[in-house]
Amino acid sequence: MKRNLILKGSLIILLALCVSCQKYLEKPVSSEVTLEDVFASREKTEQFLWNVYSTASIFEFPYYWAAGDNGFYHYGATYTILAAACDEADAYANYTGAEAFNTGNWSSSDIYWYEFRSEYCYKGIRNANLFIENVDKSPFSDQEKASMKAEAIFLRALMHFDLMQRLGGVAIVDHVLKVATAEDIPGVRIPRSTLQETIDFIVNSCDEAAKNLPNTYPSMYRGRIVKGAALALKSRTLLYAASDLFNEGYDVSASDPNFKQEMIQLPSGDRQERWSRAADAAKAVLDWAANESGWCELYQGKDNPVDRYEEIFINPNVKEIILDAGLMGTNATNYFVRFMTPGTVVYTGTDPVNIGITFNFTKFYQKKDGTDQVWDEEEGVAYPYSEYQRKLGELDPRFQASVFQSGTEWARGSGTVYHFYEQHGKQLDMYNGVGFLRKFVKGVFNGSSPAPRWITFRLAEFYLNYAEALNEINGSSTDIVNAVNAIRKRVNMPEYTYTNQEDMRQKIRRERAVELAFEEHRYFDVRRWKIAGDEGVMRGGMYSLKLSGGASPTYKLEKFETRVWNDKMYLYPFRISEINLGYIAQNPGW
Amino acid sequence: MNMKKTLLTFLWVFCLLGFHVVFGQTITVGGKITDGKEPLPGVNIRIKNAKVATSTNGDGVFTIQVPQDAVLVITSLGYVSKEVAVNGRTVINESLTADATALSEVIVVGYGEQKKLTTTGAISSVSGEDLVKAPVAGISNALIGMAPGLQAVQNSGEFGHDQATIYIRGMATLNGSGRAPLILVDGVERGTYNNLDPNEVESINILKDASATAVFGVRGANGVILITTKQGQVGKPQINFTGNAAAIQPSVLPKLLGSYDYAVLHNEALSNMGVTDQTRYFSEEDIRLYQTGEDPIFHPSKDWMDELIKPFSFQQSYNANISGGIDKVRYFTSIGYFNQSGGYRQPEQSLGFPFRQSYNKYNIRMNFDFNPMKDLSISLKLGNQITDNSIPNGGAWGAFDKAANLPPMTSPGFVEGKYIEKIDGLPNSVPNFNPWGQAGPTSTGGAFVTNDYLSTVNTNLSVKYNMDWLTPGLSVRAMGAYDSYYLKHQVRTKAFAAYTLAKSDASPTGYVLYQTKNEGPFTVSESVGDNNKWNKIYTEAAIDYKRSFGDHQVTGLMLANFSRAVIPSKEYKLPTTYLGLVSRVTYNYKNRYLSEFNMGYNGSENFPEGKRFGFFPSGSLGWVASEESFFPKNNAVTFLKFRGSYGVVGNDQIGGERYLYLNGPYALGNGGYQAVVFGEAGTNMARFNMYREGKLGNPDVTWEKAKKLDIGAEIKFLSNKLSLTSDYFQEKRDNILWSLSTVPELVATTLPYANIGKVENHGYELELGFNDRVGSVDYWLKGGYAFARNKIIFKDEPDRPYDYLLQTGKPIDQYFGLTFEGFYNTMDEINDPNRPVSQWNDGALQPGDMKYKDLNGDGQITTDDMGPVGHSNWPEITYSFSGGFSWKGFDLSFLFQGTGNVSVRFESAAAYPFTADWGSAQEWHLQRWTAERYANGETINFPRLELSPAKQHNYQPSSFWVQDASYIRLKNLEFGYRFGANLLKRMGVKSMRVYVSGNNLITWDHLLYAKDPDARELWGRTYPSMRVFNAGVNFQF
Repeated sequence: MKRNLILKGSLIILLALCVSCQKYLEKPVSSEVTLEDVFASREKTEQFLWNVYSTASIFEFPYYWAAGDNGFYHYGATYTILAAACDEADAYANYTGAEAFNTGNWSSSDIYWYEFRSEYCYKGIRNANLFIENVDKSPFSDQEKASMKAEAIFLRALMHFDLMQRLGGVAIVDHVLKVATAEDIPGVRIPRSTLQETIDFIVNSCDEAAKNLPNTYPSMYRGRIVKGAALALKSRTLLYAASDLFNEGYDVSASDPNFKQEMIQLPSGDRQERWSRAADAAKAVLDWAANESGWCELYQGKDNPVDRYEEIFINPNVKEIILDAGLMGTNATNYFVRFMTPGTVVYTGTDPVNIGITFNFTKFYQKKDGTDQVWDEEEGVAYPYSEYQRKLGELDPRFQASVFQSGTEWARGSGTVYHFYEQHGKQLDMYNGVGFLRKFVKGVFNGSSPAPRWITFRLAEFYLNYAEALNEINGSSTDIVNAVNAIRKRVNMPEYTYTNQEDMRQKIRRERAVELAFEEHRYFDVRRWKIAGDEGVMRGGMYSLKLSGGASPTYKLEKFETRVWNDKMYLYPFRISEINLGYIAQNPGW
Repeated sequence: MNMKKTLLTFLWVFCLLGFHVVFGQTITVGGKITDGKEPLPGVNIRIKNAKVATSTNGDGVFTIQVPQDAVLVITSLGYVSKEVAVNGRTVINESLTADATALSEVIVVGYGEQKKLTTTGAISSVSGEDLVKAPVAGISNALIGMAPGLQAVQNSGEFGHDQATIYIRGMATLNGSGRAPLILVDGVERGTYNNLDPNEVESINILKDASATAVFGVRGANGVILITTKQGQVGKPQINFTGNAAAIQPSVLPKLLGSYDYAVLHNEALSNMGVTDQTRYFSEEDIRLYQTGEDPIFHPSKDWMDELIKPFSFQQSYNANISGGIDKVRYFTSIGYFNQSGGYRQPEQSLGFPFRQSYNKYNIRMNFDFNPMKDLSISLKLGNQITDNSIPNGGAWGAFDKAANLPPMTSPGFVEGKYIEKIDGLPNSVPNFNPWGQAGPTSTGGAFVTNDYLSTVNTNLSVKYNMDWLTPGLSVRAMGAYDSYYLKHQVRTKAFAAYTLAKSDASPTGYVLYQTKNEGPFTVSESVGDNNKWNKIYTEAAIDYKRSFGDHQVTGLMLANFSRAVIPSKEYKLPTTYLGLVSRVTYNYKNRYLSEFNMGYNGSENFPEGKRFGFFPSGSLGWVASEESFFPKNNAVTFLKFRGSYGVVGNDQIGGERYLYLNGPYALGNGGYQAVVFGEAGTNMARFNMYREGKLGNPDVTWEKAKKLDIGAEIKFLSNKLSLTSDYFQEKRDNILWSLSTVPELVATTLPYANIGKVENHGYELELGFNDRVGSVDYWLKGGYAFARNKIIFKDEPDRPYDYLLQTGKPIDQYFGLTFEGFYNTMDEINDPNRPVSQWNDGALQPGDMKYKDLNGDGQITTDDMGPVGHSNWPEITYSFSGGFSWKGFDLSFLFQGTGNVSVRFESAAAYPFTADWGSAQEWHLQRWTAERYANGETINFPRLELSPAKQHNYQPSSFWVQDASYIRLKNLEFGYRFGANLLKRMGVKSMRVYVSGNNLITWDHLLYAKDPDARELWGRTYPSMRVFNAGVNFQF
């Protein structure tokens, strides 16, 4: 009896202990920061906005291992830039994402590895939504809140645009998706919107953001999103929306029963109206720069046109830049330099990719006098090296600023000239094309040189957007040529006079290729113009001017690669892992 | 009816009695049976050759009617049986002596001890004596092959990083980091158990079923391992010294091709790829120079493995311990030292540091037991394990990796004793690396040494108080434990002088050498990481009750425990806390009918209030059939026990994550490479820090629930010489913590864990032992076999077009891939219109490429044809066979151990030559497909060669690359001699034994690639386990 009492007594005591112990296992109060803490503080609220910037900006050059908490890459081919996956360039290393594109060897199960990680776009969108939904709690003035919210709305639209240009209509996520348990899953399986809805969402977001975005910021915040960025995104979106790809579709049949053509094609409607909206939107950017921004203009500094063009990409203070994406890499590990530049010259590491500029693309550059270079080389025939130097040396200043060709200095003005053919058993790095990429880096000598900033929007694009859209509606011929000539004049290239719509179309496209070379425009331009399948663009032979050494060095026109294209590639596949979840309809052909 | 039955019974008893009366006069004999001191209840007293029997009551007293000349057979479980002639006596008091073999088998169970013979749980044991036989670094390695149901796989043999992964009865949960058993040392969870000195260990008990582990409640589902350290026994001081010295070597190294073969294969690969650019080929002259070796500068041929790795390195270990005591104080103290050193050869030029790889372990233990008063006992256990590990140039991930994966002609290594960092003039753009210096953490070279210094201190203080005065059999105890853990990571670096070689114009093989890098300063950095310094307090208090009432024996246990680990260096690293309440009741009738009920009620900080505490009950029953009176008493079957258990146990582990119900904290960072930068360049441009969202929490999360059934039998045959233990088990685990996997990427955040998985696991274990003596030879044999197969019932998997693509329904970690069906051998086969089209560059298919089975019959080979191939990388079958004999002073023992139903996938550099165009090539690759080799009917074990092949047709996951990793290994062999006592007495030595032993001596496996079948790393850059040739001596004073 007594024993029982003791046992029961102890049991009760122990149980009582345990009940109080429930609290023991509670997470103690700590300095860990919660969502509420973030938006209760001005400083932390801003710091969360920088997080939205970091995850929702377009860093075109990928840091292949930097996925995860320390950064998200979602653009650019793995180890390289998209320029190497179209006719602009080639990556010599064969392990790049571009290689997969050029061999046509990519699919819905590996696209995320070669080029594009849509989940990181949605990461940026999530962060933007978190900010938009919570910023009102923060201790800022209403005006400050509205302005900051507009930045997040813009960035959310930028991410949707980036999905749209690769995929067509996508799932629009305009609120924070909550998942705690398995029951929440059906609620977050948001299906694809139509292409029209996606474009409308982006354009409306730009309009909304533009209302509250400032034209400028105090000096220390230079680089934040200004009104012009919202106008710029609207312009680019409407230009894409008016172009052939989204209006005509492409002839590949879809196998997904849930797929509808309206997911990748706009409803038939007035093309002229669409071009006209695109022209207005481009004009709005130019007008904003000229009349409203108080600072934004085409860069006209430096005496030498080569220096002038180059300066845009190496000096982040240039007032032509409407938005860039922050530094790509720390100073200590500048991965752009490490991977993109000729390894032997610049970087002594083990993994240079060696971007070569194709001969195909070189032909787009006119001579400085505005005439075409005479490229009469025949395949396989050896020509004297001096001809290579002469012919390339005569090209457009923009070529000189962008391409490091044999027989020139890496750092212009340094006096050290490099030849790319084998000399004394030594050869610089291997490459395909006519020379190495130099744009963006200006002759830096190691990976600890300041990292370049990737430009998202610069004013020059909108002259070309305007010219293109205006030409399509047969608008004012003066305005068309003025827009193109503004770009040409800046680099001392002779001006064009108006000819006819078709001729101007080709001139504008060529000017766009040259002016915006390697900035990841052309990869998308050849798709929206639906010329990607043309021989020499994304398909067919790609050419080098191959150098050989010896007593009298020579060069030969040589096909280094035959590229593969299939029309289904006009749009990307959704990742197979998402398709398997059954909520999203796959694009045709994949 | 009832009346009739009573009557019949009466008649029957009467007849029996009458029967005996015939033989002589019956007398009543009474007496008391003791164990020398205390009375023994439940002792069976039987008349020899008759069926009359009785048993003692709770006070050890019996009475029985017997013929005057009868012989009584007195038996009791755990004691040596006795036969006593009555010889007319009426009082017979006898004492039984404990059966040493049976009684020593008191085994440690969760929060207590039980007699092995009456235990109803599934428990295996390993003795300390067996552990010390293996000349290896850690406890986990010594456990390999020691107990069925405990599976240990050693993935690496690198010094200081060779701990084996241990699971009990396979895998039953989805998350890899939630599968580990709970491991306790002296009753306290101690993650660094591997560093204990095996000489300190008394026993290791492996608790496998719910009956044994329910008391651990929310942490018991993966099984529990209890390690008990030694304690002193009353007696004169026993001094024990053991010393071992061994030569150790990697048990298997990749067989790399030299430059000649490499160049030939490289050219062949280029030509297979249709490369026409002749500059990419090695010229005939290059190949000739590789073959002749006459140009070791520009045409070297290096086996980098051979160059860097020593064929033998050195291992030594020493232990000295003293134990003994008097009634009131007993002690066991031990010091141990273990060392492995060598590993790498020394470079010809100083690279800043000697390439000395060394692993040192120091162990100290002091265990005391005090009995200051009659009813009070106090035990104090103090242990300290220190390890000190130095690795030059990244170890397995640096030097070893580079040695395994660089081309043989990449560098001449050292020229004129100087380190060559760069060489101009290697033919054919051979990439230029020198593995001696390239092994750094960055590819920029420079030597470095990492040094990890780890010290763990374990202390236990326990007090037990007998409260028989209150009620007999009652006692209370309490234990407090304090552990500390400290790990310091040190990196020393020094840039060394480096030279560049260029061709000299003077002669074709002449060179010029010039210095391109100067020696740099020595730097050292030290860090104690966030998780590298912590301490833990564990306390428990318990009430024990143990008493017999006649034939009824009852024990009870009620225990509460609490543990709290704190990382003092970081405020926001919150203490890890556990709380629990444990109870156990056993009841046993005449040692024949056994029952046990266990329960754990405990909580984990990982779960929200209301779901935090779980109740985990288990029950088990046992029947010792051999104790039944009807059981034939003969020598054929001497013991037979059946037991069964069922219960529920939990698991709260999911890879160290905590507070699963809460949203994770927001963290501030600078965005790494992708900085957000504002401001004017040159004036105020700056990086801005940013807050990032933490992972989401699940407010409903709770523990995994494992329902476990175990049925076992223990049998002894042939006068206990042969013993057999067998168990069948079945586990159904649900509520498994697993990430939600069908959430679209749109959500884009770290998802919480949810209780969604379901897995079933079942299997069996057999353990057979035999001991006997022939003449003066004692010998023993032992075998163990365990099988465990699991199946995923649910894991929230996205739909797939074909069921065979699903992991659901298949074992955890099942490999998937295409089904390899040989090679295409002719162009006709390639051009066959009925041939399935490959998703991977079909147009480039050639003879020598792989044929795959079109599983879905759609005429295409795609990822949709990747069904299950092979098994998982965790063996379903583990077995061992051991034995030995002793004769006069000599003894010999051996242990074979093996695995079955296990696969390993070869990938990347571990599989292909010429990764990233270069890499290394191995002997295996000589067996590649070529038209010529095919025509000659030679063995073909590899597809046609290509450069950088990772994404191509042949290199998809397939049954070709997923290979059978099962093996049999001669794990241990020991031969010893104990010197005669007379000789030693004069030297003051009680006993001396010398022995030689070997570990990992021979392995028979099925791999195509020279590789340790237990190594799982895919790039071939982990050390294989070590082969050990050991010699040792043991003294007892």
